[in-house]
Amino acid sequence: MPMNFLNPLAYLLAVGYGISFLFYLLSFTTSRDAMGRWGSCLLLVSTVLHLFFLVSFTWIHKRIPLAHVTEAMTLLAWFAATVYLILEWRLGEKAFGTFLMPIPFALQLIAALGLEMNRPVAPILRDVLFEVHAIAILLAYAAFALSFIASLMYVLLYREVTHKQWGMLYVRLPSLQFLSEFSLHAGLIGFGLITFGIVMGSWNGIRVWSSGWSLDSKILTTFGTWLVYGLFVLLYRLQGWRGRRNAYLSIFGFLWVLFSFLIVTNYLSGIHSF
Amino acid sequence: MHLICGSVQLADAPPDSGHTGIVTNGMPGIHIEHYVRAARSKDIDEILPLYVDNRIELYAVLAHEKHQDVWEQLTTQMLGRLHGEELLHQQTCVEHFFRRFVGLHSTIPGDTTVQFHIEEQVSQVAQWGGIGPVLARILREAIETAGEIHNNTHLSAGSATVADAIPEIIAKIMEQASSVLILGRNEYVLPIIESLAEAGFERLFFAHPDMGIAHELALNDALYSLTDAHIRLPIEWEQRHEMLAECDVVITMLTPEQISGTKEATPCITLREAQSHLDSRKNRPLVIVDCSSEGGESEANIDPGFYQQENVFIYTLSDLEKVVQQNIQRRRRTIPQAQKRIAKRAQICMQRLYGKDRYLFDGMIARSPVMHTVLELTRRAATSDANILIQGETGTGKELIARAIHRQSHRAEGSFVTINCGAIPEDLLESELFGHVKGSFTGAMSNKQGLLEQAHHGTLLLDEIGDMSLPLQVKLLRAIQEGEIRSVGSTEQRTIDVRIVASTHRDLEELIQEGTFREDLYYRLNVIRITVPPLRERREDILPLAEAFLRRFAAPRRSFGRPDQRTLRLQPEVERCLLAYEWPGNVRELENVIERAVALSFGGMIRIESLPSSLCQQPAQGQVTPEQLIQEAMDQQYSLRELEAQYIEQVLKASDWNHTLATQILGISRTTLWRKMNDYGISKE
Repeated sequence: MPMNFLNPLAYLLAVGYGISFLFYLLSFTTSRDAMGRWGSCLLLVSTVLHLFFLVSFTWIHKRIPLAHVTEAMTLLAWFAATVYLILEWRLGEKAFGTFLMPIPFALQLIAALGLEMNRPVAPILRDVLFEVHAIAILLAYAAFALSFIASLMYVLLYREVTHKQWGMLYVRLPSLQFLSEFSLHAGLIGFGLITFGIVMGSWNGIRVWSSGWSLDSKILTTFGTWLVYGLFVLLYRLQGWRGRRNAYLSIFGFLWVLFSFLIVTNYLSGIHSF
Repeated sequence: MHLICGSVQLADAPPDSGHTGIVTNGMPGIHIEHYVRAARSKDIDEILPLYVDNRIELYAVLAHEKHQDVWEQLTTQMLGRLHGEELLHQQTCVEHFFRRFVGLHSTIPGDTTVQFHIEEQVSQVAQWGGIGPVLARILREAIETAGEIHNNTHLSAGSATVADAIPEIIAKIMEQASSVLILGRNEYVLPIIESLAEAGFERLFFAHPDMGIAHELALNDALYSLTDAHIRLPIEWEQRHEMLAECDVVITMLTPEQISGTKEATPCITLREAQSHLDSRKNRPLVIVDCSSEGGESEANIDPGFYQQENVFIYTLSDLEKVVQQNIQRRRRTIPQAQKRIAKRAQICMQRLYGKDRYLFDGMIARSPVMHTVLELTRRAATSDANILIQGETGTGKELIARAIHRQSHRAEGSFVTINCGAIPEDLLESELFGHVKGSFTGAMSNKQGLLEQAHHGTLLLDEIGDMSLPLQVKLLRAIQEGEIRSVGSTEQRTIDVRIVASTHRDLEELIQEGTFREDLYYRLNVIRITVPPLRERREDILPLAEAFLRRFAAPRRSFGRPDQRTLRLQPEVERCLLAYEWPGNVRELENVIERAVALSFGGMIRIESLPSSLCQQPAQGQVTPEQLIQEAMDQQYSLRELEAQYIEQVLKASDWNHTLATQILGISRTTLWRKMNDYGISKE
C-alpha cells in the first residue's frame, strides 16, 4: 500500500491534540500565558495537518471519511477542534481549551486505534445526500460538545461563586453570563443542524430504501437527542430558562449524544454504521 | 558615577505628610529642599529622599565611590544613624529602587499606588534640583519595568481592597452590569462608588431613610473617577424595591437596627416586597452585597428568602475580604517571578547608565534643571524621525546635541554630516549640498557627491541655517519635501533618505518677518524645536563645566614635567568671577578661558591673574569699590547687622535665590548663610 502514511498520521494527530491539551492545562493551572500560546500554536498545526489527513483520505478513497464510526470520529474531532480554534481567535478566551481539548484528543485516539483502510463500503454511503446528512449531524454534535463544555464550566464556576470558594476556576473562567449565553447559542446552532441532518436523513432513507425506512436503534436515539435539545430551546424561549437549569439540560443532552454515538453504535445492531 | 542608597525604618505612626511626603526622624521641619541643598556639594551629583512603605530612603548619585563618606555624613545629619541597614550600591541599589517602585515590598504586593506616590515625590525633588540625568533615567526604567511586570506577571492581578472586590466578583457573574443601587452609607461607600465607577458602572442610585444623605451621596464630587458619563440619582427610600427590576447590583450598608422608622428590625430589602420586581428580571442575575459594617456575618441583614431565589447571588463583607486575602496570597506567589524580571531590568539599566548612550550626560554636563529638560527632550526627539531645529546662542553646544540625536536614533549606523551654511559662499554651498557633475561650471573638474547624498540613511546637520540664501532655501525645501535631489548640472533625480537637523543662533521667526527666511521651510524644519539655554541661564553648570575642562586641559601638561596637574584647582575668587560673569560666548568661551588659565597657571591653583582681565573687571566698570560703599554708609551710621542683612538679601535676589550661587558670591558656607538668613529673617517672600 503506497499510501500507508494515513495510519501513522492519525496517531500523530492524536498525540498533537494530546500535547496541546497538556499545554492548555498547564496554562490554566500555572497561569503562564506562554503555555497557552504554545497550546494554541500546536492546536493550529494539528488542525491543519488533520485537514491534510482528511483531504488525503478523500483523495485516495474517493469518498469523505464517513463510512465507519471511526472515520466519523476523526471528522468530528476535526470539527470540534477547528470550531474551537475559530472561537478562541474571535473571543480571545483560552480557558475553554482546557475543558474542550480532551474531546478531540479522545475521539482522535479511538479513531486512530480503529481506523482501517480498504474497508469495503456500501455504495449508498458514497451518495452526496448521505454525506450532507452525516456532516450536518456531526457538526451538530460538535456544537453540542461546545455547549456541553460551556455548561460544565458554568456549573463548576457557579459552585465556586455560590459557595464562595474563590479558587482557580474563579480566577480563570469567564463570567457566568458569558458561559450561559455561549452554551445557549451553541445549543441553538446544534439544534438547527441536527434538525436539518435528520430531515436530510429521512429524505435519503425514503429515496434509498424502497421499503420505507425502518426504525433502528440509531434513529431512535438520534430522535431522543433532538427532543432533548428541542426542550432546551423551548424552555429558553418560553420559560426564559437561563443559567443553571439550562446548563444541566445541555450536559444531559451531550451525555446522551455520547451514549448514542459510542454505546448504541457498537453494541446494538442497526442499519446505521454510526 | 556611583549609586548608593540607605534607608531608615520609621516608627509605626505614619508620619505627617505635610512635609511634602518626606518626614524626618525626630527632626521636624526638614523638607526636601534641605536634603537637596545639603547634597549640592560638588561630590553628590543627585539626591532623592523618598518616603515609601513607611521608610525613608535616601538615594544618591555620587561623582565617585570614594565620596561615600560625604553621603554618610549627610544621611547622619539628616536622618540620624542608618541603624542596622546595609547600604546598597550600584546595581543592587537600582534593583532595590525597582522593587520599591513595583510594590514588591509593600504590604499589598504589587500595589500600584506606591508607584504614584514615588512619582509624585520625585517630581517634587526634581523641582528643587535633586534629580539629575542618572536618577531620571532610573525612574524611567522603573516605570518601564513596572509596566512589563504588570503586563506579564500577575503581581497586580485581582482586587486588593474590599471595594475593588465587588466589581471583580460581579464580573464573574455578569458581562455588562451598569446599574447599581446603594442603600445606606458607611465608611465603605466612597471607595465602593469609586471602584464601581472605574469598573464601568454608569448608573448609580442612592437610597437612604434620610433623603438628605441620599442627595448628598449623589452630589458628592470628591471622587476623581466619576465623570459626566456617570448618572447618579437619589431615590426615595420607598422606591428601593422597584429599583430591583432595573439594577443588577444592590449594595446594602444598613443593619436592620439602623433603619429608622420601622417598628421591628427588618432587612433593608425584603423578598415579600421585591418579589414582583424580581420576577420582571426574567432570570437576569442579581447580585446583593451586604456591606453593613457591624453585621458582616449576620444573616439578618439579608432577607433569607433571597437565598432561595434562582440567579440571585449574595455576598457579605467577609466574603469580599476572603477574595482580597486570596488575591494577595496569589500576588505573593508571583513575587519570585517579578524578582527575576527586576534583576534583569536592573542589569540592563546599569548597562545603559554606563554604556553606549551614557554620553548624553557624560559628554554634556548638566546639573541645572533647564538642561535636564533639554537633554530629556533630546533623548525623546532622537527616537522619532522628525526634523529638528536646534536654537541657541553661539557656543552653547548645539552640535553636541545634534550628534547625540544622531547617535541615539535608528540612523546611528549611517553617517553624520555637518555643514556650516554661514561659512561657505552661496554657489559653493549649493554644489556642496547637492553635488555637481563634471563640467557643470568652471572648476567642476569631476563629479562630486553632495552632502545630502553622503548623509543618505544618516543625519545632516545644517549649522547656521539662518544664513542660507533664499534661492537655496527653496531648493532645500524641495529636497526635504520630495525626498529627491538633483546635482548641479545634472538631469538625474536621486532619492535620498536624510534626517535634517538644523541649528541657528538667530531668531528664525524674526528672519521670516524680515523676509529673509522662508516660512514653509521653517515649518518643515521646526517639527521639534530644542532650545539650548545660554550658560548664564544655567549657572549651576558653570563650575562643573569649568572643572571638567580643567581636568581635560590639565592632563597633557603632566608630560612636560610640571607639578601634578590633576590637583589643579580653582581659587575661590576665580570661582566667584566665573559665576558672576555673563558668558556671552557661553560654554565655548568658558572652555577657552579655562584653557588659557591652565596654560598660564603655576602650581596647583588657578589664580585670578590667570583669567582674562575683561572677565573679572566686569563689576568694576563704573562701579563703586567697597571703600566707597562704606563711605556712604558711614554718613548714615548703619549698623553692621543692617548692612549685612541688606547685602545678603541683594545677593540672593541677584542670584535668583540660588543658595549655592549666593554662598559662592558671599564667600561663606551654606550653613552660615542659612543661619544668617534665619537671623535676619530673610526669605524668598
